[in-house]
Amino acid sequence: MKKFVVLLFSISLVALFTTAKDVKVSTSNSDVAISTEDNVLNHPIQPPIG
Amino acid sequence: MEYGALIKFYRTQRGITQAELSKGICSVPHLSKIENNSKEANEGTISLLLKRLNIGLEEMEEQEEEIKSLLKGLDEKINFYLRNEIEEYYQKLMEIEHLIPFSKYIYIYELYKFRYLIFKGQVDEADGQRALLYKQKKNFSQHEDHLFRYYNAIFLMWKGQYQNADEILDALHTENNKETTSGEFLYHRSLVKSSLELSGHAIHFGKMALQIFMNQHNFIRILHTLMLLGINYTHSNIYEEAQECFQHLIRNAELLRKDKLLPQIYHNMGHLQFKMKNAKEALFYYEKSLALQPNKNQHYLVTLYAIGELHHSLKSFEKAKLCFQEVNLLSKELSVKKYRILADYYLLHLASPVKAFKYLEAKVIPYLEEENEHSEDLTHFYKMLADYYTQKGLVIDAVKYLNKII
Repeated sequence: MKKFVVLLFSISLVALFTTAKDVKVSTSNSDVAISTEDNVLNHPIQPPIG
Repeated sequence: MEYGALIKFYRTQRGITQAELSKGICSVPHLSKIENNSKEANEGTISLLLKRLNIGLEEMEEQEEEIKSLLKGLDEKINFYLRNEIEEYYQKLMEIEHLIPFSKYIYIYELYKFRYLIFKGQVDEADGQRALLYKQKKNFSQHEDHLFRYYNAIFLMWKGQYQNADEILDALHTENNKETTSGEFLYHRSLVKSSLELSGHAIHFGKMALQIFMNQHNFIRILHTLMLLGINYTHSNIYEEAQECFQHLIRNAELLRKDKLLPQIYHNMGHLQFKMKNAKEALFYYEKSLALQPNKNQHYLVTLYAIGELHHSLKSFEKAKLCFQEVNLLSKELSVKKYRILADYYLLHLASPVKAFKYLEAKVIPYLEEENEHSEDLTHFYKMLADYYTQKGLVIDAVKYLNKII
């Protein structure tokens, strides 16, 4: 049942990406250089354990 | 005091036979029973035996009181995070360490020694002490068993095993019906939740710890707890409260001359500004933090990496490159794999984004998945890869990463 739901979801996502978007296929660097503006990688420094 | 064992220890140390020691005081079999604690001797006999060994009974009783008071002091100083005093108390205990096995504080002493080693960050020695204590576990009283498990949880936090530490602390808390008057215990509960990125819980326990520390005027731990609250308010996007915590911290850390804490506070303030999308302010605080860190340690590395990321997101690619190059070198020196591969990724991204995405998929993501921490990092990278594959028209691959986000 779970697998079936995941499969259905994947199919619906595939359909979404192939129909709703006009996908532009390009191999140039500028097209694939995705901005990291919203990155969250920097971390806080936790206080000492002691 | 376990006088039987004490008498045996000094008699053997001084090379006296049982017959010599007991002569005119008691029979040899009687002394033998006293030494093996199989017979309760009266105070008069003990006193005479000790006198012959040149040890005063009163003096020994005073020593036992001294052990008790030093242990209580050591525990208190650890709870108040008073580094110099902790050392002072520990050294005094070391001076009379040979007497401790004969006192009733033998297990408490070994447990506090474990706590002391953890506090000092002597992980290997603490591990050895833990093994020693584990063998004695069945002899512990309920209180000693509680302490052993608690200290073990703190030890696991040092080792980065937060999930296990959290389970132990949770069990201990439940056994006590969720009631505790220990600010330190609540602080550790909050810290472990914070490390697991469970901010709601971290704030809950942090607030409880703060109240107790404030009642005790435990100023250093108040600063540490405020930092925890600031971090977790930031993580929960409660920015006003977070800002208040950090501003309060900056004022008080300067006042209390907690110079070691200041760069960490500035870093976390930078992190908050970054999350609030105040890039200029974030850079200001990160750089302030870096300038106060003379030692190129792990904290320096984290701050430098954050600056690199900030420059990268501001499209100051040359500055970002310089930062990541330094991060790369330093993380190799300090053997910090995570920041080495992340710096590698960014350096690749600056040179060739296509190669960078391949590296992301082959190295960065598997590493982060294996480490099983900082789920936000992983989500961020999954999203990036899904976007990348979508742009390339490789929808199946895009879906693979979108599914991972779900």
